[in-house]
Amino acid sequence: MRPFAAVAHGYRAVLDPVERQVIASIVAEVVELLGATLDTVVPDPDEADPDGFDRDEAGQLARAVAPPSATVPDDTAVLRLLPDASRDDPAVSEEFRRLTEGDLRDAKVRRLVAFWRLLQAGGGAAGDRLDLARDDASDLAAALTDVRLVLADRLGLSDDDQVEALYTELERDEPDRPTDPETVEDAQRRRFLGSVYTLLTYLQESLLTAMLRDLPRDRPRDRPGVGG
Amino acid sequence: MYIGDLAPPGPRRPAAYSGAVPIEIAPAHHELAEASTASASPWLTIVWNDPVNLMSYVTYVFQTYFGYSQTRAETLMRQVHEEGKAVVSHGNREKVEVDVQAMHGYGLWATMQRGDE
Repeated sequence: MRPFAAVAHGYRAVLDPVERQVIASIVAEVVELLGATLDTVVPDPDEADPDGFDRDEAGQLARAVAPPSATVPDDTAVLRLLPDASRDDPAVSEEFRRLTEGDLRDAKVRRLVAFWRLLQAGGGAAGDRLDLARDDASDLAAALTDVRLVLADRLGLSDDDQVEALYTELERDEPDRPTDPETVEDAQRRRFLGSVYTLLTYLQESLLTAMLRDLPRDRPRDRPGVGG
Repeated sequence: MYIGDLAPPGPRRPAAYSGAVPIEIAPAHHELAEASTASASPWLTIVWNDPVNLMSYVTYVFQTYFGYSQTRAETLMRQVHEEGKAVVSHGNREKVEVDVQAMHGYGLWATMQRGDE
């Protein structure tokens, strides 16, 4: 993996096929958590007519996403993607959810599917390059956030110390080897999800560094403590 | 490997969704000073800290969505990170609903409340 850097028409990272496949599978699962199914949203590239790949996308998407409901999601990860709008007024939260949740789900699914497609676009002449148009960068940054939020929920990362502990854990070459098979499986899963989380964090940070450089900067005299 | 197989790590994030934390707005805050002089009962958009969102991303969202200067966006981002929350916009209920929805779209954890509470 090579992190994102600015190129002439946008941003470019390099991801090998295994990294793409792993990230794409996680992205697809987040789409499912949001009530959509990748198969119904995106035609199978092996079967679809390449010219018709984008046809009826909006229509298929509208059918794929579950109808908006005013019920609070049971899954803590979905709740983090679609949080309550008020901490202390259930009526405010309920109305907000009723008015906005369908649109929010649709927007998130669309961005995740675009991310998934970008990951499929590698290979061939493009090699391992992941080329992102400047206009699509904000959508990808948001999709990366949603995937990282779900992984963080599954990894139990609810404060900065837990994130640091995960990084320390992943840096150890020889992880503890529990003997109980269930514990072994849990530990392997945690290591896998933690590695994906770390990879996506690195990708997002590099993308944002490049994106912020493209934003207008304050003039020095606008900055406190600089100039006169 | 299916992330849905992993048991969610608890019934609800305790600190995040308990609703038990009284919300205080720092009186010195720029936004509150504006809000208090605005028309009756303006609503506030509050962004809360979380361990996932990158400081660079939060700054980017504040600059591009709200059109804040780099300095103001960075100040608000630091306030979120260090104090746990910041008021990022205010207005009538409809305006704040739009802002909260936008923040949720970006994956930031935002809530709305009346400014006079």
